Amino acid sequence: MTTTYVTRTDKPSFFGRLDVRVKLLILFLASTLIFVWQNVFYLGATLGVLLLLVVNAKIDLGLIKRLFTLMIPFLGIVFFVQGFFNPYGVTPLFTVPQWVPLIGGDLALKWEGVVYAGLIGLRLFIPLIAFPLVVMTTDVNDLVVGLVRLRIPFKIAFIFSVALRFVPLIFSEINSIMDAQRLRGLALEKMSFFRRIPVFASLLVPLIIGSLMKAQTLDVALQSKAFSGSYERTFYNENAMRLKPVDVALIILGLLIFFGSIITRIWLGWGSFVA
Amino acid sequence: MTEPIGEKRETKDVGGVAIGGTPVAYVAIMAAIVAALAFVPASIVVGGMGQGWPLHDAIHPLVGLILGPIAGPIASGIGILVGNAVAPHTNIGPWSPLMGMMSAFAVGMVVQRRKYYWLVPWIITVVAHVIYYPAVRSFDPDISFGLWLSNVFTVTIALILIAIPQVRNWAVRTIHEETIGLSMAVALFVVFFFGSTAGVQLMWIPSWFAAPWPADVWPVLIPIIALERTVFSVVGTLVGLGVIRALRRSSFVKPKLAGY
Amino acid sequence: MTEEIIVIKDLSYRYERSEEMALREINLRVKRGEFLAVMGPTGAGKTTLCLTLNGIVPHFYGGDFYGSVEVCGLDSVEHHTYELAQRVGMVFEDPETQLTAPTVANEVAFPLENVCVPAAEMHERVAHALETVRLAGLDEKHPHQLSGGQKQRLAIAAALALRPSVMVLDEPTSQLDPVGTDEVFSVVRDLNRELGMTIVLVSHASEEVAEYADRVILLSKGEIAEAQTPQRFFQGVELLTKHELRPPDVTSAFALLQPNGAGGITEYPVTLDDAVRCCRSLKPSLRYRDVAHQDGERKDGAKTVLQTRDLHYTYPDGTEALRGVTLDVGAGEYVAIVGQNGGGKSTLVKHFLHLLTATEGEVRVRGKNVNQYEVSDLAKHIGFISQNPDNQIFSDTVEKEVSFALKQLKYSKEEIEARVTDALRQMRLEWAIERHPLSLSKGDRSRIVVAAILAMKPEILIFDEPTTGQDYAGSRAILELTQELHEAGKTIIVITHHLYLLPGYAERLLVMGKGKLLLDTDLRSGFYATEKLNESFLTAPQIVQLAKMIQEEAPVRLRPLTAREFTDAVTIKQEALP
Repeated sequence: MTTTYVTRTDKPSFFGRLDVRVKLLILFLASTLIFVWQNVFYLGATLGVLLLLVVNAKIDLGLIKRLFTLMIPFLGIVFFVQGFFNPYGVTPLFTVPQWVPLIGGDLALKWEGVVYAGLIGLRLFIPLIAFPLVVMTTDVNDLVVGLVRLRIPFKIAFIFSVALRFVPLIFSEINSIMDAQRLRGLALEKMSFFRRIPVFASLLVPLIIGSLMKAQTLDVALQSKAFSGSYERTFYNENAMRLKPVDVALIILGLLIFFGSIITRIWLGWGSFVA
Repeated sequence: MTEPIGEKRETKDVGGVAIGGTPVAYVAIMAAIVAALAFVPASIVVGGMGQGWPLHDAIHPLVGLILGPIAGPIASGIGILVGNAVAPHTNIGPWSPLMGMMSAFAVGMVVQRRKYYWLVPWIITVVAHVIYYPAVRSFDPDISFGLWLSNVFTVTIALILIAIPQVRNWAVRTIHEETIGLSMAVALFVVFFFGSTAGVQLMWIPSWFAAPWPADVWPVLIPIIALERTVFSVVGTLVGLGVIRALRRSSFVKPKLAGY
Repeated sequence: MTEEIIVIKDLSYRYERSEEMALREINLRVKRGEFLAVMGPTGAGKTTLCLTLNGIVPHFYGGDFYGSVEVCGLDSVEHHTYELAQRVGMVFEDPETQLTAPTVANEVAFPLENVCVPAAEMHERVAHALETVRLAGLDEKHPHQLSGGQKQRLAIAAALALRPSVMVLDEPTSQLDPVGTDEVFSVVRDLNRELGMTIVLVSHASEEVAEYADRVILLSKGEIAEAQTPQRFFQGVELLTKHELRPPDVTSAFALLQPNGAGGITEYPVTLDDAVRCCRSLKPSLRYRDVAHQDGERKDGAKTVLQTRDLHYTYPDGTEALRGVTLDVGAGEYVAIVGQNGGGKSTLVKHFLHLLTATEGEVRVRGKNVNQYEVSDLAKHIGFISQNPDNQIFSDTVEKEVSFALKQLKYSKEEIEARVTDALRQMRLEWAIERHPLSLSKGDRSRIVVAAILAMKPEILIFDEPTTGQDYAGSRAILELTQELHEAGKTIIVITHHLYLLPGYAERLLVMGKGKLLLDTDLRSGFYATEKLNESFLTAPQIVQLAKMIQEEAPVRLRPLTAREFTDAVTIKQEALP
């Protein structure tokens, strides 16, 4: 279960060199535009742009493929449910034949529903790709500095970086606890869902306790390094704070897209549902 | 035992570098646990969209209990964001932090033993609850009041349960008591169930606007939602019991706003 | 300069929710430039004492604080940890929980950022600190990619960047292998001797303390029981034994050799160099014997229970952890596997448990290919005890913990009860049956894990670094336990890098390095195959080194492993004494 999907890509690229603030803005757009637009073409174009960035950032395309494969069962349900039941559905593509008991002749797969399912698929997939895209191409230091520049309190930015740093460690804890349990005859794969519940608990309790004890040691270590959580501090990676002209241009463009999309959607109806 | 000979000293501010009364390192490590648990797809379904429902859903109420109503939501929120990045297969949407943060906040507030603190998450949840009805009808007018209610009654029950002063006060008192037994389990379940449903209710709103379900499939969701919240609250309770039992016996420096 | 940099007066301290005093009426003065070592058994208050020096006790932990601690003229209660931390650098035991930054350079810069050092100056200081601990050039590496010794040196560099006057190191080497330990000690020595930095070092490593410290204090139950120069301190073999400390091997040997200070030597040597010098000056009166030592015999013809043939294992990230290991372990053997961290020891044993599956080659358990077993089946035959007991305890009473496996394996209620009682009796833990595991000491928690494993009645037991992070008494207790189990007929495998603990217990020695089996022989020959040990960056115990040096100068064959055996082989001719 513990395949780490995300490892940092060190390959230099146009996207990789962008300022963290630009990347965070892209993440923000990916998370909001999916609400503003209800149009498969608009969102399709958004996904296209994201995929171009993925290619530019030299991220392993296998990751995207794996993600998509993992989503197939869920997308299947969405296509079925929306295709047959979506209230926008008008144009029948295929009607269940009369001889099928109960639903025959009544139930039909409709074009608008299928388009709507595509819309949901896009809304799902866009942020799904945006998160790893940003994190995989960003140095954690730059992330911290970028967040601080965005007026996010240093303590919060710091928690981000420490949490990222400790995920692999927590994993190895989970693995070693699970190994120990297997060696005491626990065969999770043979258990029913309900019998697994107490097993989850017996995994999480030692994990949380052990980690909290580690957290206490960590806090002592931080304080010993004169950590005070104060806003006033200097940064080793000062260079990461300067915006290059291309960053500024992209930020302006991004903000224009954000506000523009809302205004044109409300007044001109751009990006509303079409089928 | 004899008193030692040195002069006894007063220490002013105890607790180190804190956020909402909780040491920063605790918040970070809890966030890391939440993020790591994002790798484990746990649920049977689909409370929102997304393919796998992350296992950390079960522990947000506990995070609120241990870290308090400020640090708890921060740990949950950051943990979920980091989880979305490192385990995209359980990313249930960009609004996913809302759920964990609300769960942790709700529990953190309820267990504070202040008279009106519980009202804050309660009112937020009631508002989300009520808004949800016109929201779902704007997509599919076939969703009747009855259908809506049958679907969200899990949340309604939690809202009513926690609003009854006797139930709430008993639960909060029991959680603070020494003895860790069946009544503590019930008390934890009551509070966690509220936290868990408050979180999911808040998340339903953005989630609905991105991926709504048509009226025809709502009946199927009724038992699923109820079962899902109950099971997650039970897991949370079992973990909570074990964690409280262990923490109370350890040298762990307790966060100021912790509720155990 | 003889200025006093640390002045502790009548210090007593009690943790919150605790009834016992953690520290009791401590009075201590440390001079600028002094190297002070703090020794004592687990729970004596060593860490607490360290934490008073930068005010974490009492600022973070609360509790009751009596008396005063003054560091560089600052009272620790009046001043914040933030201020004190700029004067007192601290390095802790576990490298994982003190490194937080994504790169080596950022790790060192972190404390400087905290105190608002301008960026330009910061780069200079970071570079300098890294150079001092010999990590220059690794700036951009991720701390995860460093070895244990490098991680601890990085922690030292981070503390160093603030230019503190005092460096406090709390068991900095107890999680490290011998190479890492050497690296850290040599850096600490340079800080003290070349930069004149005041050092406070908590350590169980008697040999190193004897070599580097100016003064040793012994803490016992929160009180200072002794404060001496190492030379005098380690003479008190009786006091040390009483407090469960281990004197350096050579000191023990000389104490046994001439218990009354006869032979013209008034003090026992405490370092290897001293001991060699001592031997030289005593040379005319020393007599040697080639003793046939009584070693446990390897049971030939015993049934082979564990077997590997040309075993290869490559981790998913491409690391080749095992590169062709062929090995047979017979029933009832006691095998020690030693070697540098990353040498493949743990990877090897995990194959027997089927926690890892061979990339190439074959693994057999009791004659059957390991792939034909389920992990839960294997668990009935092989018990595996890993280093951290807390990752192996999942229940909230000792009873539930010990019966955990039995319930999984669906034994009857009576059977479970009988086995639990049995296992607890064997571990002498009957009294704890109702207790919460976390309310017990770390040593007892390790015993619970062993009890839980024994309840399954496995015939093979594998201990993975059971002595790491344990004090001497704890380590001995665990090895005694393995001995008992061995005598009861179990096959025992112990992974360790504490070679000096093995004599008297292990019979067979496997030395692993870089994924290969470098040596497979009996313990005694193994310890004297020093080149092979060095190849895996291990150092033979002091006694072995001493015996080898004597042999270089005298035509004898000496094979002692312990101080006791040394005195069997080497004696002082009585009439030659003045």
